[in-house]
Amino acid sequence: MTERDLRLGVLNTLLTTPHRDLTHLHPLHQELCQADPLFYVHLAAWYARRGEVRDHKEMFIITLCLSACEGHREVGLALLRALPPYQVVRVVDFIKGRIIKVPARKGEQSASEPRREGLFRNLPRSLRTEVERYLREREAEPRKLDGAILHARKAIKRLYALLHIRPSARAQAILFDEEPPADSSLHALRLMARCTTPEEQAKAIVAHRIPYRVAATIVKAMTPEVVRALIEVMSPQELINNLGSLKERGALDDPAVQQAVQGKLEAAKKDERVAAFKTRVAVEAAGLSGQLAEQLEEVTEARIKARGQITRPTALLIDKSGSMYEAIDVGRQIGAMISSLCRETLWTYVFDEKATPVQVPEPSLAGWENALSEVYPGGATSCGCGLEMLARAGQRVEQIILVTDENENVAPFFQEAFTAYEEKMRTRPDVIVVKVGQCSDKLEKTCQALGFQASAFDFKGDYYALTNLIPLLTQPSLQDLLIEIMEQPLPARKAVLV
Amino acid sequence: MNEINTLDMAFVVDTTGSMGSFIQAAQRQMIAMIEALAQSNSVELQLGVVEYRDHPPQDRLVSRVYPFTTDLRAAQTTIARLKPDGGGDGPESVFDGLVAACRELTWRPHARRLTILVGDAPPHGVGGGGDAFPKGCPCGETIESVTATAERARITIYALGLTGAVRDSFGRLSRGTGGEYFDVGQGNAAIERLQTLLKTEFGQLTFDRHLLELRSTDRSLGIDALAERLTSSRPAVASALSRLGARGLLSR
Repeated sequence: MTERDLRLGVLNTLLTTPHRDLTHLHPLHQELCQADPLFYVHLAAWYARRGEVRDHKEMFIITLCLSACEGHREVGLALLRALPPYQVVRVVDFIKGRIIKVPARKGEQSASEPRREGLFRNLPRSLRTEVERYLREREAEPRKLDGAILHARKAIKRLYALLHIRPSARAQAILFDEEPPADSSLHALRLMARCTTPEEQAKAIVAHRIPYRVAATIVKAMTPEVVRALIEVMSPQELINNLGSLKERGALDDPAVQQAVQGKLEAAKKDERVAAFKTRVAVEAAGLSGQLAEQLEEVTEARIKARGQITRPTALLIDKSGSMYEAIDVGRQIGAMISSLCRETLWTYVFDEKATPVQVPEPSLAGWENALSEVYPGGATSCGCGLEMLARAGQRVEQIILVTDENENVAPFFQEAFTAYEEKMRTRPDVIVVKVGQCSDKLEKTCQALGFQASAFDFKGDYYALTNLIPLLTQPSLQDLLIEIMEQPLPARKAVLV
Repeated sequence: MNEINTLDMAFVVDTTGSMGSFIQAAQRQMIAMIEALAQSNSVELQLGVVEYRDHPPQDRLVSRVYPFTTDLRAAQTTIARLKPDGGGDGPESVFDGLVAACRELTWRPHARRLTILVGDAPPHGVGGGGDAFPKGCPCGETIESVTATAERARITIYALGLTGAVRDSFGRLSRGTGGEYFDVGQGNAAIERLQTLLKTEFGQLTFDRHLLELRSTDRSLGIDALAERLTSSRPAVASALSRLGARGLLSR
């Protein structure tokens, strides 16, 4: 295997592995790090900037901080410094290990067995030092410390306690003595709780930038004025995450609040910190419809568009056979995601035993939902019929995305159809399989037999991770993506203790 | 609309002699499944049974179909009366049992359709040891053709394997239709899976009924309009349309 093949394999594994559980990600990252340490460290730096999946970002840092390879630890610590407090705690907790007890739910007689999570290893001294610097950096600026504590009190307190780091006088007073200084936001929070009118509370929220999560527990009444104040201090992502809760409180019915929300959502379109698919999940979770849903959709589209452009001709083939209850939903999401990035036509077909072209008038989720609204799962599975249609129509593509469970059972089969396509169109497209439902690995094996490697993305209901497909599709080739990653400068650790 | 809450489930059971030591455990599992599913009052359940053995000269009974019934006790009695006998070589006429279930049982047009395959031996022609028909089952069916038949009939196969020898073939048969394979020790997991499936399929009956009503009165209603009238989100409506459409409930 050449170095290029190895790196493509590493990249492929990273981009096509969904998140959810650090315990399962750890062995994978260890393997990737051992396979190509030089590439891995650049990949970590690249992913910190371009990636969207939180668990991978944390696992890169964990792996680098524990790695014996030269230079890895320095990069890992530099990346750690850029994390918010709750993620720093997750990194520390995973290395030290935790026993998680889940209390019995309502109606359950007993709690489930305690679960061990993490590596149960000693924390490297350098990591402890870096966390200390992380905390000292915040302590040096009272406003920064107050803000951090307001947002992540539990996490910061845990860092001090777990790593036996002596807090500054201010941190000690706020976190451990419960006596926040008079000039602190935490003191203001106490005063705010004593305010008698919503107007006073609204003023305090804005003056001290009290986050929604904290303020919501102490405000007397969610009047429109208070809600507007809360929205003003929220980041666009916070607003998106809390739309469901605001809706439940009836806060979104007020015209002035609606205007404040719209203003914030406009800002979200340009905010790099907004995760594209979280808006879509927010729409579903909160059961939002109408103008607000449309605006959230615009945010998703804007954030996706900001991730690049697909310049290579591309085909999207969606399996709608009887076994594919989920695939049509996934196809809709992928279609909406990539069609807005495509500079050229995205050839789309749904297939069971025969393939049918799909015309999508506008590249939005609404457009895809409407285009696929009369497509229902049914029929046997031919993974080659879409390719046959592409060949018959003379549609030359350089990459094919197949959303399928790979369980083909009628001809034309993928292998024969791909070979025929390759011969007729004189091109060998890259194949990206988005595996949905009860999948086999038949298509990956077929591609291997044909002499190339398919990228296989195992979809487990995790829509956030779908954006991982974008880097695979937006580069002129995977080779270009490798070059971009290797050219990613490595972050340097802040040397001086602030 | 009347069939919105209907579930048709067929047990396809190996009753050859080799099942002698497993049949009681298998019967217990099947009856437990029925009892678990029958707890859901909102679902109209009907049950069928197909037993299979083998092709001559190995056995004279290839498959036998016991029609669907809504009398769950009668179905349980049918299952309890299944007697293991004959069979001959290792592999059995699994394909025939499944195809008989797909073609000979009278499935309700819009019911959610499930088949539970229960056996201890693989089908013919898939590499099982001691196979009298190593080149393929005399019926001419293959794993691919059987899963295609099931997919066309909108039937999802779940499989309960009583020995490790069936893990591969039963796994492929079930996955090929969107179902799952369970080892005999995972009987409870299989029941949980079926209950989850029921929840997904029938968990929003009021919403689904309302959606169907709106769609039947005005077919031109798009997703946006439906979402607005149902005060729901577009993705929720789109998913419901896929789910109901898969059962032919939205056919013109």
